[in-house]
Amino acid sequence: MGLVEMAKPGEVTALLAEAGQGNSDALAKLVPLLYQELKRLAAHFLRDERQGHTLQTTALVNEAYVRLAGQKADWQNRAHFMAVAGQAMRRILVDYARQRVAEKRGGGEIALNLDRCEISSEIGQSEELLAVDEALSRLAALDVQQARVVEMRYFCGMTVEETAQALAISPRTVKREWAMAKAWLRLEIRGR
Amino acid sequence: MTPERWARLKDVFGAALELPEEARRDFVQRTFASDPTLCEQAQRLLEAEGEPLENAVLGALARKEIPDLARGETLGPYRVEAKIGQGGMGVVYRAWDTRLDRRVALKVLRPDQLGDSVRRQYLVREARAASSLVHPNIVAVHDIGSDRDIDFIAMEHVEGRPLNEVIPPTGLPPRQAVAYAVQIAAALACAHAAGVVHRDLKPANIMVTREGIVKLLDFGLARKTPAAGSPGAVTVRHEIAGTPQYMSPEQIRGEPLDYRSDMFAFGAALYRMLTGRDLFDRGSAMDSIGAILNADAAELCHDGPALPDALKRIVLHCVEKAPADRFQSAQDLGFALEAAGAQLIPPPPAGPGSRLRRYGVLLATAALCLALGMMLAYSYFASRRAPRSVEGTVFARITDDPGAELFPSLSADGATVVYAGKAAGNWDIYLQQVGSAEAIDLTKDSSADDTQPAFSPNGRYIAFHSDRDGGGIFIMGRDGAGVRRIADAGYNPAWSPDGATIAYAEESITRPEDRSARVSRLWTVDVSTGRKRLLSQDDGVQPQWSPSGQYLAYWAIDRDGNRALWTVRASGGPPVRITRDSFLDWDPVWSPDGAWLYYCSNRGGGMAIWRMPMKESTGEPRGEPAPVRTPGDYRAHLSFSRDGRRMAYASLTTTGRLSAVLFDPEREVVVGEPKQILQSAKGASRPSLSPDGKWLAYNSTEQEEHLFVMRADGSGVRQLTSGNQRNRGPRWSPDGQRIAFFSTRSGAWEVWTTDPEGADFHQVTNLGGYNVAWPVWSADGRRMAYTLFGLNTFLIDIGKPWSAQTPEKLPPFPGAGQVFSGWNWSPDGRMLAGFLNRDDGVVTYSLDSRTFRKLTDHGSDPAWLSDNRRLLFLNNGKILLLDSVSGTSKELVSAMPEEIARRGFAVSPDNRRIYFAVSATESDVWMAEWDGPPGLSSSSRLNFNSGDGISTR
Repeated sequence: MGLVEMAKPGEVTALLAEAGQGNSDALAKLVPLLYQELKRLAAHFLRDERQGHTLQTTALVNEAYVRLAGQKADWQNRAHFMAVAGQAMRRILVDYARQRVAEKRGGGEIALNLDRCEISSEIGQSEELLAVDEALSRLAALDVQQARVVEMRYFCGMTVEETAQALAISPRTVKREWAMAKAWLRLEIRGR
Repeated sequence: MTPERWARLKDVFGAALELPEEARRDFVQRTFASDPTLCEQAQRLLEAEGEPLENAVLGALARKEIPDLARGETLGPYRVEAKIGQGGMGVVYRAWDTRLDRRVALKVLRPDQLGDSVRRQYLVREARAASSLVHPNIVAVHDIGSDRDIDFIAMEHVEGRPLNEVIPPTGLPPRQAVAYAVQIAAALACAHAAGVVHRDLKPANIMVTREGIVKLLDFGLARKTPAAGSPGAVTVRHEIAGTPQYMSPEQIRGEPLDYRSDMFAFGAALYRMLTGRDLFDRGSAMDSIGAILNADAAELCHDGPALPDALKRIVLHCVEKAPADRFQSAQDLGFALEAAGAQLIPPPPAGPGSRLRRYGVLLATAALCLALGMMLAYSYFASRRAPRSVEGTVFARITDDPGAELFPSLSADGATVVYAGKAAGNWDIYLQQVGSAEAIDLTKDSSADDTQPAFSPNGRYIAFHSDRDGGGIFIMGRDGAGVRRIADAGYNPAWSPDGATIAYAEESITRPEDRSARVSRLWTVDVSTGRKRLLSQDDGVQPQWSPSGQYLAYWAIDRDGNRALWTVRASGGPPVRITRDSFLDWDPVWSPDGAWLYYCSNRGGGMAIWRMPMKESTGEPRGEPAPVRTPGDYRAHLSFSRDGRRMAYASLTTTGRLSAVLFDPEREVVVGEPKQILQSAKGASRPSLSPDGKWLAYNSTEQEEHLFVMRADGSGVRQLTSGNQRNRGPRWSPDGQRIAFFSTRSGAWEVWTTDPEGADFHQVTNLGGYNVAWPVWSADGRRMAYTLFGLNTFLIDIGKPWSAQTPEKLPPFPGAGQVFSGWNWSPDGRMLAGFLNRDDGVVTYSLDSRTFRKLTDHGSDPAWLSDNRRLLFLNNGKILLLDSVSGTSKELVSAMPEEIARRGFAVSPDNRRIYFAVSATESDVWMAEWDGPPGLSSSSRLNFNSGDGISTR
């Protein structure tokens, strides 16, 4: 018995291809698939995490991608995939953070190194992660692109270039969006 | 906010960011002059963008970059030369240690790795734990420091490539793989003994030097096995960088880890070495993880490339799912590897005319020998099909008991060997037929130590040293019967070729490093009459007869402290010096044809066998020494069969350990068990505590003798001296500012001092031609005592330059040939405690009355307690407490079954802790057999190995 029940690779590839042709439904269908997949992966990595390993979300996402789409998928598919992965990772991390806050007294909380998108268990920053998530939802109402940039950079650990590719915008724009989003989120969280 | 206004805000924010910081406010105010709300929002965003991150909730959002260090920049005492790598933990630079003038690898830690102080402390603590590992196969951690808020770890700089780059796609030749694996196992054994688990063993963390020496990296990231009371929640950051191939199942499951997790990683890495493939590789990390957890390794192995059976078994034993099913120690693993390696069929002899191939075979054989701890199984000897390996030379390890087997002596026909072994608890003489694994204990009836056996030329008798009946030289039949004493003192007996006379020395030699302060004279005794004759008034040990019986070869310490070979006519006359160099030359043995003097020397690096061409008719050398390549570590105790075709010798491995034990000076007992604080293959001896009790200085003893300083808990080991000189006996000054020691820095042994950083060396004595040893500070730090070899103890005023000194010689200790060595000054300054000769008893010297008082008949190294009355001292490998008034003593510490090393303990200033050094020697008897004629005239016959690859340290 395998550890992970695979999403059907064909299904994912087809959805990615559809997403590539601008089918937003396809994208929407991808997120939960990916979510399930990443969650399984993350669960295993995070279990080890308590022993002191750091979950590197980029590695996780790359792993999921190779699994779901196969080695040979082209870069465009990959870009779409990454765009979705950001959202999926965000959900996973928020789930974990909620769980940790809920069982707070039990210790073993998740700590995030926000920029590098690593999770480690020693210091509880779960509440802050939830605060970012909440503020990010408000930001998304104002500026979807900026929110996507945050998802990818912050929750997914993607580089400026990867983010630019996934969102089909210039790296310069990514940098600008990222800078402003960070500033906005700071103010927003501090203001609460 | 409307989308339009947001878009406008975004535009202006973006544009402002392009401007220099000081121009932004102005720009925003001008742009939003008519819209105060947007103006304020833009200003606040810009402020938030630039504000110190620590204050913001999302502080970690900003990336803290690793400061990039330019060539020539310094960090602490380290000058950066070049960036050589980048890893998860930080950036690695090649750098120069300006303090010790040596190259180091400097790992600059990524600030965000250290983030908060808890994690930083943890990491530093871990790195310190790793820094206590001293082993030739572990990259040494020299220093952990911080400069300008940048944390760094200074490590040994290794020229080499990571193993994953060395392994070809189809794997390494099995011999090569075993060669590396044996070294990895040795490194793990050292670390595990110190409680350090690597946790991330993988080929990328294993460096291989050009010489084929393996060095394990990144023990700094390893975590000590959980100690009681350690905060379990605190963990070290550790990235999963893609491949989980070397992670153990328990590691994947997040269960507690111990050293057996390293066994798993080892097995996975060994498989990779042998095949070039990862055993559990299933393409993706997740599938691989699944395979690690669930797949049957034996099946995977079966499906993979063919492996030698023995090695396959080792791999599978390592990668058992349950830790309890794996090898339970890295030592066991090492033994298994050696055994497996020995089963590998040696390459066929090269065909005629194929020089190149032959060279390849030579290399392969050399690699095998060097690799396997040199074990071509004794089955070669046991079976008639013994392959005559390259150039007709076969090496075999003929004893393999744990513990030490020393002093092999071959019978003239080469069919039997006697040696000293400790398998029965004390030293006994064992007799073994070559080719048989069975040894007979010839002296099991005696509870006294029996050692240094020598076969008589006719093979019917064995001479030996025994401590029984007051000690001396004894003879027995080869069946152990008919023991009789022929001399009431003496060591290292040697038969004359006619069997009528035995030569011996006054001092016992197992290894040459540590000698008594007394001159050891050479004697002969007539076997039938027992008449003794003094051969020479000068120093001499380990005598050996030339085949004609005309000369004796021996070694002695000269006035510069050098161990050199000498010969002297058996009938008397002036000795002739054979070697003149600063190396340790000892253990001379004549080749049976008299044309060579074989001996042991460290002139090539490690302690190896050399030979000097000799004119037997004059006892003089007739050429330069050449190395004799043989398997082994520290080679010693040579013996030939009469036809010269067989040579037995001992190969020694010594591990030094420093331990601490609590002491209750009121109740006069030690409390609890000793705790090991350092284990080192470089050896560790002569510990000395800083006056605040926080630091421990010691010197290494194996191959190199250098000073080290570390925290009293064994962390933060740093080396103070470097180079080829020897440095011994560090003693901390009472003010803690200087460390006195004796060293060959200026040629001969002299007393020196240094600051505790090893940055400021100062020569104290300048006797140039005497052996100065054992500096001792007075309690006020103003005076110093030292010992001159063979003479006495002297006192000087440490404040004056040497030119203004008038050393005060202590009165001679009553009795001929008794040399008093001052060892420890009493806290009240009135008494100097010391010992006679090597360990002939504790003596105190009163500085007021200038008189001696002998307190014990045996023992050495006394150290005062702060009451100025009681002393601790060392006797027969144990630490005893001695009352200088009543003269009574009681045993305090015994490190049985090991012995506390001589010159090997220190008491903390508050008298509540005793630090002691244990030296554990493992040794085996080896045999070389040559097919050719015994003349051994062609040096190539013996020099078949390429390079002395054993001398790794």
